Amino acid sequence: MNLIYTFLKIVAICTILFLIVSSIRQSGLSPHFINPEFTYARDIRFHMGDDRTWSNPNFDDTHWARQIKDSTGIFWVRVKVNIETPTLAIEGTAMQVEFLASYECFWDGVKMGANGIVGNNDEEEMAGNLFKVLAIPDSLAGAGQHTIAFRASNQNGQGKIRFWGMQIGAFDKITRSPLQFTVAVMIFSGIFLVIGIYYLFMFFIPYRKRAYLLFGCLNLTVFALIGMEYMKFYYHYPYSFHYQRLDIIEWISVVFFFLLISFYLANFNLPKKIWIWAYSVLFLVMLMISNIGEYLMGNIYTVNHDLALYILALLTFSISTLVVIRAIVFKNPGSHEALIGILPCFLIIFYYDLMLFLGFVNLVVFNLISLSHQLKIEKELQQASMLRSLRLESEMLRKNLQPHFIMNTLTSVMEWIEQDAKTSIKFIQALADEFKILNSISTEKLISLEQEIDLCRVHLKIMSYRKGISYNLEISDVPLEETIPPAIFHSLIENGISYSRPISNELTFHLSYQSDAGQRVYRFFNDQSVSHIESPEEGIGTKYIKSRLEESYGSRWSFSHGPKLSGWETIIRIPIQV
Amino acid sequence: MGNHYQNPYTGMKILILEDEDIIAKRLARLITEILDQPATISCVSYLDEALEQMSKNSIDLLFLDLNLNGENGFEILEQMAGESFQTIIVSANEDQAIHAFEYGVLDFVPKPFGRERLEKAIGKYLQPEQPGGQTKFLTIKKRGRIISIKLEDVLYIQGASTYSELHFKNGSKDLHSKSLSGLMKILPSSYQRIHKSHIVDMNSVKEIAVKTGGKYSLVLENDVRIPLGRSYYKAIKKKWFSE
Repeated sequence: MNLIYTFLKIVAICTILFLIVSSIRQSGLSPHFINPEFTYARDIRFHMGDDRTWSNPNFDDTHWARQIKDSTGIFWVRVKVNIETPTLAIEGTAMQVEFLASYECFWDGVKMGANGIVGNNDEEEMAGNLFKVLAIPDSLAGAGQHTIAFRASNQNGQGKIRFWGMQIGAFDKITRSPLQFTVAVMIFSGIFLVIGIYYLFMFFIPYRKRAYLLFGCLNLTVFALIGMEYMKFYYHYPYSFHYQRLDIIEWISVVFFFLLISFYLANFNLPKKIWIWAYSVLFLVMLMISNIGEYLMGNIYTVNHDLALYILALLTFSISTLVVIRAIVFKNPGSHEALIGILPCFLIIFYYDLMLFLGFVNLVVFNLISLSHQLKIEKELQQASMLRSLRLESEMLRKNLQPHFIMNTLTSVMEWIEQDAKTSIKFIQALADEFKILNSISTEKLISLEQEIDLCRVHLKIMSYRKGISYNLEISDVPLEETIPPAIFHSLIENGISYSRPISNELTFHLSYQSDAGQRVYRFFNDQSVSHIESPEEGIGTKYIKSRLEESYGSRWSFSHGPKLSGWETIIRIPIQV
Repeated sequence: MGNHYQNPYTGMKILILEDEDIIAKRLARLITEILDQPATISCVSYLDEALEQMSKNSIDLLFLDLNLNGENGFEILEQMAGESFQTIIVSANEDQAIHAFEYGVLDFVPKPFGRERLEKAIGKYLQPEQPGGQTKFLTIKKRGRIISIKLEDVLYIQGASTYSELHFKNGSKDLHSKSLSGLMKILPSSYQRIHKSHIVDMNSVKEIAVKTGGKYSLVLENDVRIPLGRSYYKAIKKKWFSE
């Protein structure tokens, strides 16, 4: 099993390396989509206002601004491009523009097309798309310098003017390369979608584990994040939607940060106190660097949105890493894999975009390994505890079906039938009572003290008949409605009868109770008996009791016994009943 | 042989070591009924009481419960098996029977028992020697220590008044507290009394040697020769040497 597990880990690492390498190669084909600042766009002229003659390539724009200044209204952008070698592609030339505005486009003075409708105000303007591909007639696309002029308006641009540039090339390549790039991204996002849905099913159907719900949501959030981030490549939305899209991405990111931290906190079962700390830190920092912070404290802490996200990401990964390191220290299963998942995230936040999503893939894959590892261990523990419960049940029944008990009892019955029929009836009645109680408690993990004491009394009655010794049980201050694992005191009585030697023909067991520091303390003592044999440290009875205590109370119990006065004392501590 | 029936049991001394009061009483009652002759029967619940009794008066027969107040019954048995008296086990755990027989007990009476079963066990004691036991070990006391020896290491056994002398295949010898007739009752059926003072394992006999004067002897492994009693000759020849 371990071999397969190691093999899976290696496969996961190799897959991620392959994805990274292939993505870098893929992005090498069209680097401008990774970094949308084209060389073309650097040499631009900008001017607010409107004049049709500004489309003329010979217009002297030297007095125009070399940089775009944010404003609202109608404005012109002029760009000079140099085509060194015209494309020979049969389908012709195309220009792809990324411009957050509605515009008309003039190529050497000739109107080539429009994107939306330019307008003086909100109503007049119809928002153009962020992405636009314009075909350039072969007659205009010859070698040499060309002037491209945009008559544009940004009535829906929240006062911002963003001209990201354009790319000129063979029509086919211009239209297809964004989609080719998107393919790789979509494969990644498919992984997150499927895993997200799967873990939601895991949560709602078989396992009500918070960590599964959070992991499912985390994956769906990454899926949404990728979908929104790369939307511009497959959905050429109106530019007015761009700013809303950025807001949505920010909010999804914040949700992602909270989910990631919550997932680690839940998965490694951290105490509530640490949850509160982690949330408070994240929330406070978020508040400080947000608009609310600016409003409350002036703009000393405010940063731009990208930096804010960067700070929050760094903080999230740091908190997550601390949680994982704590899990490693506590030797929680799956903690090492979780660390391999989270560590690369620190590297990739320096490269936003594609690398970030590769980091997410790594994060998810290693947390999947971590979760499967945990599930395996959980299953094993569950199985072991089920087996133990079954074993304890059969042990308890066997104790009363073992030949020593049954055959001695039957021999006594034979004697009474022959010698004293009346006593035999009483004895058989007591025997029947003991079996009735045993039958009714055999499948229970906890029974009331009342039932336990009934069981003890009827057992003592049987043993008194058999041994010709008067066995008694005295109880003081024991709350009868509280529960304990079955046949605990019964086992102590069996041990007491076996290992003690009454001086007179009488032996009394004492059971007393007190609560102490949030624990229930039961003291079991048998008096005036000389233990003629050292009670074995781990006899069958003692082992049975300890297993029962562990079954019901985990590690929150203690069992101690030893000689006391002339008798034998056993002290059992278990948690107070809730 | 008839001599063996001549009432050597008068005043038979029986000890019952049993920690269940009712069962001890039952044993005592049934034994008294079965024996139909005077006998001293005492019941004890603890080993130390039993040892004390034995040190005061020798006993003839011990009824022993193997599951005694949490003690290891086999340790007690090992201790008792080397004594001169015979032991009958009375136990609730029938699966201990085979092991008990290996220690050389006379019988194993499983609980719960009725009169018939107990009668059979006492019958074994009362009967003349009739091998058919399953003993594998003999327990001897040597310098205060109890030692179990393998029966297969014993070549022959020689009677010496009330006890026996075990002669081993390697030539050494040791004493055992039981008499020859006591041992005969617990030894496996391959053991045969061949002389009033000799028992041999017939599996280790090579041949019958005839000496002048009509004296017979058995030749064992290692060429050890054991005299064969005249009164035993015919029966042994018929049982072991007829084709």
